Amino acid sequence: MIDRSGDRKTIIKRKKVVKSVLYQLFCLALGLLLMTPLIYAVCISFMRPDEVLTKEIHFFPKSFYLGNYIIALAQTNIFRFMFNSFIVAFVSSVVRIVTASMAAFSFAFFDYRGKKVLFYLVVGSMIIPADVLVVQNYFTTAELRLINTYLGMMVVFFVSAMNIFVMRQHFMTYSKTLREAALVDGCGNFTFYARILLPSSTPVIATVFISSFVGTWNTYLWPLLVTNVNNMRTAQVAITMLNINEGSSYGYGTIMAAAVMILIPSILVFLVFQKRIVGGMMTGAVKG
Amino acid sequence: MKKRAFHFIEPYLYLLPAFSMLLLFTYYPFVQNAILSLFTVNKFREIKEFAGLANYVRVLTDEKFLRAMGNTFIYVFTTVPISIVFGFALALLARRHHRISIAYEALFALSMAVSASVIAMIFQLAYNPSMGIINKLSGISVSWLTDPKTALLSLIIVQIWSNIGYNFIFLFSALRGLSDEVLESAQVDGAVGIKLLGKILIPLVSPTLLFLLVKDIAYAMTTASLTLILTTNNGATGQPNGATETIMSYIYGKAIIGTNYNAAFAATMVGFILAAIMMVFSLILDKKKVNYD
Repeated sequence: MIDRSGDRKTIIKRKKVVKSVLYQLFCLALGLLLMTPLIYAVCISFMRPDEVLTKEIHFFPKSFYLGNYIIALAQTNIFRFMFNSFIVAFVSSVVRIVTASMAAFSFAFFDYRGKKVLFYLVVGSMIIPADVLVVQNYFTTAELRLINTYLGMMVVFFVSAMNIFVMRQHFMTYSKTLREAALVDGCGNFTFYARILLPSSTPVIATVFISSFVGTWNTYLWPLLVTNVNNMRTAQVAITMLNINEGSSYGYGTIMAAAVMILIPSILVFLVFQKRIVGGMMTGAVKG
Repeated sequence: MKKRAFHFIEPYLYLLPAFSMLLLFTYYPFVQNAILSLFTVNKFREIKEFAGLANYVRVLTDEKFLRAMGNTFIYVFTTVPISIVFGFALALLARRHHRISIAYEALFALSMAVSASVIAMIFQLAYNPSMGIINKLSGISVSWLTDPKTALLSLIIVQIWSNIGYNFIFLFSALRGLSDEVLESAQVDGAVGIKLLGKILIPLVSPTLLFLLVKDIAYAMTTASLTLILTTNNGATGQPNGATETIMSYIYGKAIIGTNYNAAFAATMVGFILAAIMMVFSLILDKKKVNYD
């Protein structure tokens, strides 16, 4: 009797394991299916031109052909475009952290006249979608003579109301007694902000930085508007200009090779920091 | 004295960098646009005369703009719910922790890291009538991006794909954040399957759902990237023949490609007001349905 029920238990256990493995494999297959467009791009990027053009159906390349990558690297200035994107994404993310953390510091740790109204001005700006403003901002940037400059490409990303909000939420949970102790020790407000508050907030800063970096790296409309010389194009704008419709003659293999190359940085950053992005989103954006 | 004055202005000083940028690139352009939309301006944006609502009347009776509005609404009402449902379904699948779950979580979320221009270029090839994989596999012969019947649908599919990762990752972290006790006691009470979903899970993640709804609507109401990349040729936006024109691509065409600022500024205000109404509408829904407990 006892033996049998033991058998039954192991059978049930085994069934459970099989079920779980099947479930996981199903999810994995579904994930790969969802990512078919990316796999498709990678496959095309390794195909010879005649393989791309053929009417036959084949998804995977016949050989590991690198010609498309060589053309993309040698003829399209892709490193320059990626460098431009990197400068824009990196510098604007850093500036965002500075502007947002200072504003959040003010909102979270001080009491002063007009604080509520000023905070509403920050939150209220979130209902104005950024893309609605691009035309007027383009004129402002042109008047400041910032067309075709890095500063012009970055300037609209220097503040994010959402980042201020997220950091304020985080700072509000910061121990008030710790700050009072620091002040009693003769530590000024700015010293407290720069030496104590910021270093102890690295998780939220990292989250804001990463999501901001991926966001600005991927942005299209603004850099399209404020650049009109090839050298200043960002990768996202440049790739759409390799398009056959735009009068250039690169084959689809080359365009896909360029696409894969400019995908790599944002995907790498995303995969490495995925957990952090999720955590930061939860604490900042939704609750509160 | 000096010290007291500094003490008084200090908190404002910390706000200064953020507010100067916010004023210059959010509030100033918004107010400027609102004012200029009431005037007739020339192509140097110099005010010629007061126009009242004439610019609005002209835009709202422009067939092209009405078409752009219609397309934008179609875009919102398809991409937003479909991509949220997909994202939620994937989040439910990935809810429990498994040995390899980190692999498929990453795959489900990955579209978030893919830019509009890259995915647009990939789909441009996939949609290509002769060499694209879609026609090759399905055996049908459709010119996806140039046929007026399929062009908007083609852009909608790309947009849904792009949104899934973002919606997934928010809903996934919301579901993972739920306490096991809540779920266990619900299951003890006999809530499984659809009942668990409708009675427990959806209400518990409703703040996240609302957040995504507002964010996705704002984005979809003011998007132009896919239209500008995929269906704009030789300076004509929203091809074929306006079939993929959105409010924002209309504005881009008027203001940047042409220099018809009167139409562009009024259209911008209409776009903003419509987006704001949609957002307020979902917030009202919030008051009635969303559970913050």
